[in-house]
Amino acid sequence: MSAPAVIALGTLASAVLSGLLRGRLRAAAAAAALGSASIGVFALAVRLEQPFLGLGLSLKIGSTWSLLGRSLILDEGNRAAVGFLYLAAAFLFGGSWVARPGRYFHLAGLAAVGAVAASLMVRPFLFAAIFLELAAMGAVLILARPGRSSRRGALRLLALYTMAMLTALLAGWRVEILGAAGGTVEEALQATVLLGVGFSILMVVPPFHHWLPAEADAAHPYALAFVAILLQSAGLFFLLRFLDGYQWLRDNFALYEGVRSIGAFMVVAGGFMAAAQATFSRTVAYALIADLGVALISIGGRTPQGYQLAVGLLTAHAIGLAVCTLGLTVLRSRTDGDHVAALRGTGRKAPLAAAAAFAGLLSLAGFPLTAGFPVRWSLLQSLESADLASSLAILVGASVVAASALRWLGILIAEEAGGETVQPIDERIFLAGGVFFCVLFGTFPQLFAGVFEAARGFTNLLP
Amino acid sequence: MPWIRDLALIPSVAAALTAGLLVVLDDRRLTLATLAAQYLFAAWLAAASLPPGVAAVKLVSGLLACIVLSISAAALGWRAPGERAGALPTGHAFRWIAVFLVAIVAFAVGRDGWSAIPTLEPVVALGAMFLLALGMLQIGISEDTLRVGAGILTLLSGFEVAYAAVEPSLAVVALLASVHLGVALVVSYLLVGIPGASAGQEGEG
Repeated sequence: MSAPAVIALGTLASAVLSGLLRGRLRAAAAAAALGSASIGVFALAVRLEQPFLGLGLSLKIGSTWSLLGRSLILDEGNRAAVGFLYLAAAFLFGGSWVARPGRYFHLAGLAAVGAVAASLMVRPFLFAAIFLELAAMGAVLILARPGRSSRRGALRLLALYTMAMLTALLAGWRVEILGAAGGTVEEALQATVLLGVGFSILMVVPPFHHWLPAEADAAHPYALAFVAILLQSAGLFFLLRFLDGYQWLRDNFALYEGVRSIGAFMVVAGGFMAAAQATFSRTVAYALIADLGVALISIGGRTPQGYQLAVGLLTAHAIGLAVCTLGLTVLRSRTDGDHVAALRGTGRKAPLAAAAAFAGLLSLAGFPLTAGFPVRWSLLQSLESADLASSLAILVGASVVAASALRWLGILIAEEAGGETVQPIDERIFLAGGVFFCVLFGTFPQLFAGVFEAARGFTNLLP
Repeated sequence: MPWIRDLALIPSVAAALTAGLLVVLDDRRLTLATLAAQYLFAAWLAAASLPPGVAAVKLVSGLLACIVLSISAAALGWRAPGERAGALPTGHAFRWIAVFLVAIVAFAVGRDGWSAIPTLEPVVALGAMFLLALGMLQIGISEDTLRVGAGILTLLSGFEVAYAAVEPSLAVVALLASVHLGVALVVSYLLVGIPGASAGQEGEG
């Protein structure tokens, strides 16, 4: 038996079980969270290619699973990333106990997580693009919820990821031909442009971001958070694998400068767009774009610490977004939308939900004492005066998103008729736990140390 | 088989015609029949780079995708949805002109083959370029779920024709075939899996 086969079978079994339990959403959430967490722990802890005793038998778990002439390999280079992915998914599936994003959320979610994990393990790794497309299909199924009429965002997502797959496959082919040397300047430029387009789509760089605000209007907020975290994690790891694999790409200073500039643009533009929105979910969508911009600035720094911080940002991003959308989901269940008029005063009826939505948005902004802060602070310290423009962009973006979070807090706690409504105990536990997580990671930055391990497989980026 | 390459101009022109018709047609039955025909010509073009048996896999997966979409369209009663207020201008005249202009651009770009892929026959490259360009046009100007789905499948077909000359392995063919089926299933789900998305009421907010 090989580890990738165990992961595939585990994912399949969890998906089938949560699918069978779809009529009982809490049971499905528990099955998906436990299954996902077990697979994550397995990926991190399994002893590969070494015999060990289990159930009185001598067992050996291989690292390679061959399929149709291609291989899925779990090794020291990617096991931390695969483990991170499943554990992050387990965290999000756990939150669905309260958020209830849909009957098929867990089934499609696990299928999408499995596809992303396969994209991390497949060799040659340019086939990862096809698995990312399959993950995007799972994402579309997650987003398409019953009762909604608009499919524009989901269709845009599908079309964009299809284009990303095509450009990544072509870029991968060009890069393979160029090999380590990099070929002529013109050939290297062609490959770099193709890569740039593909990754711009995967990392939601404007103008390829339109699916996100469109879905913010239509999809379940928690489902959208899950999809955004999953797809952006996949895109980031894919980008890091490309950079790790080719010296000539790592030596391309113009590429890194471009990535930093795009990141700075996303931080500022995303921040101001977030502040200009009239619905909470759209504010979150643009805050997310600003947050992704910070990750790009981090990668564009071209330092080992920068690559690690980008992975750390993913974790902060997952915590902030999950907590924020969990709070928003509970608030929306008490109103008829999430525009200013609908949410006015709802914080008084459901204070914990308002606190979660507020804390999550502050974390996306990178406000002190929230999960988003320590990584941003480290990034600002590493940039120092070497890149003043990027540092300023991060500060401006963070300030504007934090200001819009305060604006929403004002709306949520505005004086309205009607007192506090009774919240179920499990809802209160999850919401309070979410806020606690946000503050915990913000107060004890050393918790991110384990997360940085997810980047350790990129041995050329982190020598 | 040499005749496949010798007669490659036929599927190349036919692919352009079918891709253009997909942009213009409103009738869902005709759309899906045209898409099925397009798969036949795309497989023929791919057969210039692949063994015919392997290229046939593309045809089979494409036809299966058409069947999946047909079942969903039949469940909706075959009627196309009404135009959304504020939607892009997509009258027939507009679409015909757009197809004409994009086809000219595709011809100009693809007529001499692709220098980046020297193993790709110029005529085959032209067919691939028509499919890619018109597929993107279809995605760009359509809002109806089925039409966008057909655009994505056209784009994929065009890419596969070119990519077959680069990476002819069975694994890639199988994975890309699964992508076609996956896209068809997702589009079908978006068409019929949502209550309230019945014929003529398919709001595209």
